[in-house]
Formats: sequence, structure tokens, C-alpha cells
Amino acid sequence: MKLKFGDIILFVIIISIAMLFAVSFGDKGNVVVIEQNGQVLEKISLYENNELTIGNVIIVIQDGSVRIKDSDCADKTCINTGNIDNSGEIICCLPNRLLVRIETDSKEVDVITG
Amino acid sequence: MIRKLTKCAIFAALAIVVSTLEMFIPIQSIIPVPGIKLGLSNCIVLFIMYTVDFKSAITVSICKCIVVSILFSGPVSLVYSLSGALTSAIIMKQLIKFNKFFSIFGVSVAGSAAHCFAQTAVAALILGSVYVLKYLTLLLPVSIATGIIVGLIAEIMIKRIKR
Repeated sequence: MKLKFGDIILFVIIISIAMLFAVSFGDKGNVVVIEQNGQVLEKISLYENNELTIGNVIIVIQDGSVRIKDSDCADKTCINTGNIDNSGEIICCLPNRLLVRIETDSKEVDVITG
Repeated sequence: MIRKLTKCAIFAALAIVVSTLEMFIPIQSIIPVPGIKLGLSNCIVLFIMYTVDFKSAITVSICKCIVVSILFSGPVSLVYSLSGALTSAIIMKQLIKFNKFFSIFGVSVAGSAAHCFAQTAVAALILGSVYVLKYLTLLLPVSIATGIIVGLIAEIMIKRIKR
């Protein structure tokens, strides 16, 4: 295995692009947004325990984190993703075209803190 | 001509077998990103690209995509795999031109990263949401690792398999 100069530069570029996409990760979010086919279906608080059923997908919000509990898709990647709680994190179920993501909503913060 | 055709047919069949076997590697349960895989069939595409030509390589790649999606998944996955395969083949062809600057590892990693980019872009289009692009934070570093593994295998293939 012999790497050339260009390879190293390429690797660095790829890692830095990945970092660029990572930037908005981090803070704990407070709103769960559920999208299907690009349309927002639900926008609910992350801090209220809840269980929703969208089609054949069961989404559970519990103790400030959200996960997909059950889905009828073949690959079950969405269930394997597990819990998410940080702003910008996503759970995606491609076969169901479903996307669960977490946002930080300043209005919601007021409600929670105040 | 006949020789080239036979070679392409054999390696297309091999690519199909490799991607079928790849389904048994449970990488998705370790890194939970939809559609993540090693992309081992790319070493066959790389091998053809280095030893035959670009046209044959892209034909093998398209054949593999079509057969695999007919056998195992639906037309939606064909859109994903074709977009990834075509983008990565075109990027790899461009990089092979600069062979003083890039080794087979660079070419393979670039192909794998391009594949990720294309597929996430298609996923963003199909889902109608740009948030899917977040997966690139995980996919791109993984593509470096898988790209190096694929490059290693392709290098061995080029050395060992007689023309």
C-alpha cells in the first residue's frame, strides 16, 4: 500500500467536508419534528412523554429523547438508530420516507424555562 | 472484442455475487445509517477501469445495479444505486487521469465518497428534506475506510489476475 500526495489531500478534504456537516450538531434540542415526503406532520415538545403512530411507524418520546419503537420497513435501520436528543440529529426511515429530527425552538425554550 | 465482452460478463456476474454476499455483513446494525455498506463490488469496477476501459467499467457497474435491484429490492433502490454508481464511476475516471498524483487508494476513496454524496442527495430529493445530508458526517469518514479496503483488494486483483 503506497499512498501518493494527492490521496492525503483528498482524505483531508473529505474529513473537513464531513466536519462542515457536523457543525450544527451539539446542543440539546427541545422540539421533535416529524416529516413525511417533505411535509411537516408533527411538531411537538421533546419533554413531554408521548407515543405517536405515523402509518406503520411507532415513534416514542420519553425522558427528553426520541426513538422509533417499531416500523414495518425491511431494514429496521430506523429502529437501530436508537435514541436521539441533540439538535440536528435525525432518524430516517427511507422505505417509509419518514424523517424524525430535533430542533431548537426559542419560543419553546421560553415555555420550558419560564 | 469477444474477449473483452466475455471478461465484462464474467466480472459483472462476479460483482453481482459480491454485492449479494455483502448483504450478509451486518454493517448497518453497527453504524445505523440507511444504505450504508462496504461497497466491495466497487473493487471489480475499479479493476475493469484500470485493466480494460471506462466504458466497460460503467457497463459492468450498471448491469450489477439493475440485476441486484431486480433480485432483492425495488425500483426505488435502483434510483439510489444507479445515481451512486454513475457518479462514482465518473469521478474515478477523472482522478485516474492524474495517476501521478493519485494512487488507486485515492481513486477508490473518491469514488466511495462520491457515491455517498450522490445517494444522500437523491435521498434528500426523494424525502424532500435537506436534513438527510446530516448523514454525510458519518458517511464520509466511513467512506475513507471502505475506500481504502476496496482499493487494497483492487490492487491485489490487478497484480494477481492475468490479462
